[in-house]
Amino acid sequence: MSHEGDIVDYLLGELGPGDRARVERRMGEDEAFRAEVERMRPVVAELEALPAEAWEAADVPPLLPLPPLPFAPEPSRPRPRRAWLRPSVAIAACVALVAVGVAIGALAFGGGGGGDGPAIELARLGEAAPSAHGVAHVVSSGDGALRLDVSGMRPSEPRQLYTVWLLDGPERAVALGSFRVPGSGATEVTVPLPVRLADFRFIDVSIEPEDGDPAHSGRSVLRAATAT
Amino acid sequence: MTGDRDLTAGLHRGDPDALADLHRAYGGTVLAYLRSALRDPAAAEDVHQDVFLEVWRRGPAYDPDRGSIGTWVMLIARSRAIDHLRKRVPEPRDPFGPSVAAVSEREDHSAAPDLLIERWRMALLLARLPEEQAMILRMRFHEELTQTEIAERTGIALGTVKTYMVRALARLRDLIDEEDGG
Repeated sequence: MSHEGDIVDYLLGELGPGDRARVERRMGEDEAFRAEVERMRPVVAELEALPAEAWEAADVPPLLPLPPLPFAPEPSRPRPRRAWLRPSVAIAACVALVAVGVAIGALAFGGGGGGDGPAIELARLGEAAPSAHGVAHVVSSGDGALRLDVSGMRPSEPRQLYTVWLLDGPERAVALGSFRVPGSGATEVTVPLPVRLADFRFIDVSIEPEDGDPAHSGRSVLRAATAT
Repeated sequence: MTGDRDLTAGLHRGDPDALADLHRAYGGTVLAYLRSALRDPAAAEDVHQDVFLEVWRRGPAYDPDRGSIGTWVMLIARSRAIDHLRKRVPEPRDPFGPSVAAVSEREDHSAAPDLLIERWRMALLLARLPEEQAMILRMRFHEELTQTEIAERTGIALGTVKTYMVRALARLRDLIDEEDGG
C-alpha cells in the first residue's frame, strides 16, 4: 500500500494491530513521514467534528429575481438625469462629438492610433446574448471621448436603444449616449466623455426603452470596472 | 466548478451568472448552516434568500484579500442568522416550568452561530471537491462506514475507494493551506 494510503488508513483507524504498530514505528523513525501524518490529522479531525446538518443534502430554494444593483438605480429611487439631456451638457456633447468626429477623421486619414487609452474589456451581463462583448477605449485627443466596440450583441429592437453609462453609486449614474446595434450584432460608437472616467467605478451598457424616462432601466448587458 | 477568482470578478461587475454559480456552489452549505443555527427550516429558507440578495448587493465591494468568497458568504449568513434570532418573539413561558434563567440560556441562540461558524469551514471546502470524492467522505464521516463497507455499498473497488479518500483528504489539506494563506 502507498504511504499516503497507510497514513489515511491509520488516521481513520482502519489498520489492524500489526499494520498500526508498523506505521507508528515508522513515525518514530522517519521525521518526514511523521510530519505528513501530523499534517493530515487535523483534516480528519475537522471532518469528524463537522455538524451532521453539513452532510445532509437539502433542497436549496432557487434564487429570487435579482433587483438592480445599488449602483444601477432602482425605479423607486430619485432618477439620475441623463447628462446628455441637460442643455448645457448637450451643447458640450455636441462640441465633443464634433471633436471626436475630427479625431476619427484624423485616424481615418492617417492619424494612427495615438491618443487611445488602454482597452477596457466589458463582460456580458443578464439578458445579453451569450457572445456579447465590448471593448472601450478612452480617446484622449480633443475634449475627450469614449470609443466603444461591441460585438455579438442582440440587434436593437424597435423603440429600444442601447445606452452607455458611467456608474458609481445609487445617485451617480451618467448617461454618455445611446446607440443602435445593426443586424450584424456589431458596431462602433464614440460618445463624449464630459467627466473623468476614474471618478466612476463602472462603464455600463444597458437596454433602454424609448419612453422618455431618463433613469437607468436596470437591464444592464455589458459592464466593466473602470479600474482593473 | 467556477473558481473563486472568476466568481469574484463576476460579482465585482454585477454579473447575475456569477451569483448563480456561487449559489450553486455554496447554497447548500449556507442553507444547512442556517437550518442548524435557526432550528427552523422555513425561517432558514427565508434567511437564505436574504443572504444571497445581500451577497448580490455587496458583491461589487467584496475584497478577496480579507478571506475566501465562501467564508465571506458564511459571515453574511451568520450575521443574518443573528439578526433573525434577535428579532424572534419569545414564546410565552410556563411559570411552573424550568427557571427563566435556564430557558433563557437554552433560547439564547445569538451566540451559537458565532461558535458554529468555524466548524463550517470544512463544509465550504467539501463543496469544492469532485462529487465522487465528496460522496466517499460523506459515507465515511457522516454514515460512519469503513472504506470496505463503502466499497460493498457502492460497488466501487476498494482500491478506488481508498484512492478517492487519499485524494479528497489531500485536496482538503491543500485548500486549508490556501485559506490560511500557506
